[in-house]
Amino acid sequence: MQKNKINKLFWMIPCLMLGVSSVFMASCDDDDISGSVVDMPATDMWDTTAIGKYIYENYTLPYNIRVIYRWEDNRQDMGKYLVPPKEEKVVPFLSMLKRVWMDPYVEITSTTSQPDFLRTYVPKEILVTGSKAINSDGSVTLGFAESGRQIQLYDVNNLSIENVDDFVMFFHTMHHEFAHILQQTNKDYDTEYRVLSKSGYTSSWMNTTNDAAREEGFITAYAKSSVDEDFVEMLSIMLVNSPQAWNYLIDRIQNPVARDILREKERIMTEWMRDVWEIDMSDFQQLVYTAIEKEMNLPEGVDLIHDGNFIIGEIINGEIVLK
Amino acid sequence: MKKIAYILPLLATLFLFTACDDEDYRDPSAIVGDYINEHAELLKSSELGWRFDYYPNEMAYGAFNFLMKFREDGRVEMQTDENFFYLFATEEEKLRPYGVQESDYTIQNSQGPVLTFATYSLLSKLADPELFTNGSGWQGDNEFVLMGHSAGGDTIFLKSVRAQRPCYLVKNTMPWDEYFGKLNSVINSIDNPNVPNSYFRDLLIAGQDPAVMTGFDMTTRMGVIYRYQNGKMLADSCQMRFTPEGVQLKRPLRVGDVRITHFAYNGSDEFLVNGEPGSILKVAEGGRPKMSFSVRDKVFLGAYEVEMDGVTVEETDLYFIDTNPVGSDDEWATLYDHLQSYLYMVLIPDNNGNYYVDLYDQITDANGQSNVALARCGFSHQWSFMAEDEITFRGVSSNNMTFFATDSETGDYEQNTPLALTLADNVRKPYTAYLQSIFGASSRDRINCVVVPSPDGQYFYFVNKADGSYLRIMKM
Repeated sequence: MQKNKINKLFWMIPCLMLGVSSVFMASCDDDDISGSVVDMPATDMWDTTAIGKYIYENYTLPYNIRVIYRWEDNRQDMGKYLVPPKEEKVVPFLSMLKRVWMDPYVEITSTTSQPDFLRTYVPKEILVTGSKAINSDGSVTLGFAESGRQIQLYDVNNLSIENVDDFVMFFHTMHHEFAHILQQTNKDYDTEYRVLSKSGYTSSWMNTTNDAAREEGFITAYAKSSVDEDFVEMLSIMLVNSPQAWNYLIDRIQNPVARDILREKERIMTEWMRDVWEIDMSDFQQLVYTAIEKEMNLPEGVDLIHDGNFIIGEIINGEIVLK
Repeated sequence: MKKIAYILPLLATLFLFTACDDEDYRDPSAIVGDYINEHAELLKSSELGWRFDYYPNEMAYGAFNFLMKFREDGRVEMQTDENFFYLFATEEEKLRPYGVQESDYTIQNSQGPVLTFATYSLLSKLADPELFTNGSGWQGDNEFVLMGHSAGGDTIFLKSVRAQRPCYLVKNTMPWDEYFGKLNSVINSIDNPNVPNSYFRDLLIAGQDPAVMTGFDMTTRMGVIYRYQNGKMLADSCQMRFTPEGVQLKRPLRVGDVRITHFAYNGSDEFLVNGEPGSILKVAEGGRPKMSFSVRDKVFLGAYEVEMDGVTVEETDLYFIDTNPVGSDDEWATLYDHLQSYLYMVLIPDNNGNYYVDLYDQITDANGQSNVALARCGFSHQWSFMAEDEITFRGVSSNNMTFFATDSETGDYEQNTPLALTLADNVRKPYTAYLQSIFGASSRDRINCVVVPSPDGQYFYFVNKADGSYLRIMKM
């Protein structure tokens, strides 16, 4: 009845108004928290600088990634001496990362049943740091993936195409770290894979060279540290090398047993990529290694041979030229 | 709808209002929010910004000077002195003009209210592990806890997050051009590349024997003062802080009765000790290196002219003092316990326009006797000279000295022992010569000399007992 309706309305409006205003009253704080510098995290939305806009358009909108390039208190390892990135290096770095890491994945998965692959699996945060992370034993950490949620990348201030070894190593690391994320999602390969080098894994892997490790059936010395690392090393090193360079690395191994083991590991890895992710490894390899070579302005017919740590030579028009 | 559905939100807001009425209760995050706002406003309020004289590691380094202006838009403008700008610049950065650089700052509330220099800046260079040294760099910080401010708002107290050390932002009232104009003059006067042999400077304290101060190490902003104490020379290093007015020592140093706290720049090439007339630090030197030696425990320090066999010797560069004298402590009283080694290389012209090179390390005093031994030692030195010059390297014993001369064009080299190189006539091309020796305690040669001082103390003769040749040292 009308009387009731009016009563309802009569009550409803002031209650709503009070309800809404009480949200503001509750904090008892008269201050206007304006100004972007005060007590607000560096999210993408309010960052209207050129860097912020680039990140928003190329990382956040399409892939829901937050890129943290400003130094944030307590996100960094206080046990190391680190500095934030130089502003002028951030966008070039991120655009390179996109071309060599993200775009190939997007392209290769665009026709699969998960065209949203990258957006689904990519870590939601990429933390960018200016300097290397130099550990107390003198070794250097290049990248760090924390349980699928965050990847931290170091040495943005010094990464350049002039430093060829470091440059390719960086992309090896990037693909290696992302492979860990995929690995954490699905380990169907594991049972078959882990028996191939059952007794070779060790925590003192750093006492071997890459060449010696290959003679034992491991793609690199670091691959000896665990089954998981072995697997992602196979994946990432294959991707950053051309097919010829990759085959050279394996074919030149003198121990035939080791060669066979590596080819078997390669088979399991490529089948897993195909069966689980619908990714053809040789097509994917083509996308990734050509993207790297394009960044480095390599001339036609020249491919680099990356052995896990260094560029050990080139393939020039089909001919192997070692350093 | 029951009325209770309307009453509940009303009641809820009443509760909230009641909570607000309680003056004693404040939400902790609001308290911190106010604190942060207050400091943020204070930082931004200074028109001419703030002075940050920052010691990244108070034991190992002096202070590095920054002016900083914090803007509303989250950007900080920063400038350092010229010396720092070029010394810490990468090749790329050297191409930029010297002046103000911009970067981001934020104030975050995580482990307390923290002022963070969020993108790479001039300050980051002191935190960068890859500059100069690998691993830790200068051990500086990127972020600082806001500890509070002075009543008048002229000082903001900070604490570095990693090193947990106090530091201060002091309100700047001098226009930036003026500040850096003066600061650069002070620093360029101390660290003057145009002054030859500028490693030593005279520190003239009224009524005292001159002490000697070495040049500052501008990568660390440390200075060393050599001073006398009971006839011995001691060295003290101290952290320095440059200002537009001069140099502040982090802790006072004593030279005799004088307690030095700072040097005041007088605008030309002198600094007044403690800002008072009478005692000065002279920084513009004419280029004579200092020599220091003692006879019978009495230390003689100053610039000397050296004569050998009637020929005036030209002293050249400074070199290093041996801290490991050969011989037992009884026989040798070395001056240089705390100093680095000095090697004296004297180029002695003969009358034909050619040179002899004599090499000496320390000149030390034999205990109780007026005997002084000149000990030769080995070193590696490089000269370039033209083929028409004749250079003979002379030594008492040439057994342990080898001479290499490399033809700079062809790379051919020859090795000569004894030390003599006479080059073909009419050949004029550059040679690079290396003098190397096998250095070992037993391979040193000594000449035993008698020291004959002149009555007025203006010169000494070191007379070689074996052959009567002598070295004469004249005070300038």
